[in-house]
Amino acid sequence: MTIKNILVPVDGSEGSDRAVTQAIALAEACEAKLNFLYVANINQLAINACLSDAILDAVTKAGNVILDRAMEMVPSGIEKEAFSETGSPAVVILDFATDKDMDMIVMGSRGLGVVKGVLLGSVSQYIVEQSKCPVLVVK
Amino acid sequence: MEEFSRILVPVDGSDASLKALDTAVLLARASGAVLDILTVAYFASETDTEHLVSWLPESVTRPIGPVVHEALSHAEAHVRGVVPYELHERTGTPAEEILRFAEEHGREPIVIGGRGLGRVEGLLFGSVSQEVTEQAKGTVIVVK
Repeated sequence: MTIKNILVPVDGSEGSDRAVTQAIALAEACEAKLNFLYVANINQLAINACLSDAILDAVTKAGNVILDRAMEMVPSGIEKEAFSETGSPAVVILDFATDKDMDMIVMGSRGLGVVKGVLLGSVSQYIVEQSKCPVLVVK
Repeated sequence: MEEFSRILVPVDGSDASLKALDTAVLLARASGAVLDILTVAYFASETDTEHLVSWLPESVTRPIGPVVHEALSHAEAHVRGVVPYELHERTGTPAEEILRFAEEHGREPIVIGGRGLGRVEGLLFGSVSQEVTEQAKGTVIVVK
């Protein structure tokens, strides 16, 4: 086993920024590629049914800003790519990791979730439990 | 914490902990880190006795010394000559001792094997990796 592809789900939260920093150090050490993934938390049904183009545009833009910021943090010489998806974050992240053969997922312990008291956010929790590849949780 | 200088790998001789060790070796080789290989036993080997008569099964009453030794030597075979490492032994509740060890060593990152238990099973059967992931102050890598 080698670590050649690192998946970094980003949501613009403080925790995800720390994960990006950690992932960069890891990618540098392992000479791995960084794959940033932003998941807009909306389901396809809602998109087809009632979301206007204006709303979709706004969501896409918000995601692009977060992805651009992550991409800009990466020093030159490290391979990187940004991906944007819609759906339920935990599920989309796991599917992405499997489909694209990721060797490790690097993520924050808590994202933008509303429950402040929990030590591990629901998305991180689900991914640590279900992921087939190693998951690095940044505190 | 960005660069790894030391990495803590708790081992118990299980397949999951050996997989975690392999991942830790990869990371240590890439970052030049030293591995702290730790095994935690519920009982100290001082309580071992040669002549114990008990109605409890052998798996419960057997001496702990050889079990600890086996877990560590198994792990050592994976890393000897590959990366620098130190072997450690603690007595107590695994999750607590792992967290305490990491805390004492500057919140070093922990690479731990997970059995893949869900939240409910984890609570029922005692998921060490789950408790460590939630409670650790530093980075945790769960390997399955």
